[in-house]
Amino acid sequence: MDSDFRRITLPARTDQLGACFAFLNEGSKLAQLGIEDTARLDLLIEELFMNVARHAYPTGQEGSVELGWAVPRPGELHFTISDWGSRFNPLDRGPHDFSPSLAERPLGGMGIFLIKTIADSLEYEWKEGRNLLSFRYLAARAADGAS
Amino acid sequence: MLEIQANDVGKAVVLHVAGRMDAETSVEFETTCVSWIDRGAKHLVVDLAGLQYVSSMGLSKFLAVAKALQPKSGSLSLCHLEGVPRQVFEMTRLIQLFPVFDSVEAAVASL
Repeated sequence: MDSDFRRITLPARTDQLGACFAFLNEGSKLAQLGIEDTARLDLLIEELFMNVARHAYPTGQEGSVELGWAVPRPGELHFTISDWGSRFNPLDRGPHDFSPSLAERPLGGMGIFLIKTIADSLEYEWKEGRNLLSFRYLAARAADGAS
Repeated sequence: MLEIQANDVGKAVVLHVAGRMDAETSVEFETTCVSWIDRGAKHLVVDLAGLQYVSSMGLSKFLAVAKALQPKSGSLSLCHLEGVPRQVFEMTRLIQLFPVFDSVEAAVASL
């Protein structure tokens, strides 16, 4: 399976988000994902990529992020993202604060919640000095996160 | 890419938002809204008919603008919230925090 992955290494900077989307969209097309599935997948990747770009490396230190995808069959895409920054498992974050009050609702934290809601088989590993996060995306999932 | 067209209709400022609202482009949405609030606008109606994508950064901008309007007894209303953007508002339960309308006319009439 691993040899089937297409990979790219980018500078871990926020201005590389467009390059990240472009790389992913090759996989989305190969997996024959529709517009809505592509948008949901982009959402996942943006959250993960921006998390690395903003937090993985100390300020002033430019690091790298490696992205990879594989398409085992139409409608299914496997994705990995890894960095060599400080050890951090984004999945350790606690439940999101869904305060029904506008004043009390926090601005942040929705990204990790969306990742956990949309992705399948989400896994984190600390492996040989790198953070490695992988997931599987299956097409045409229902938006069931609010239940 | 995000396109925003603003139209002051008296009771409210209507913002027609089209394209993708991601970590990079959502800043423009917040800047535009804050600019109108600074000029005295109390009620913003955001027409999302052309919005194809919104990430958590985009969502946080909607929240920030609504929070800025709250002490002024203002409001941020959403129209034509459909497709994946609507799913994202529902997943995060943000849809409960905003008045949502089927049309710009209905949103303006509610003010």
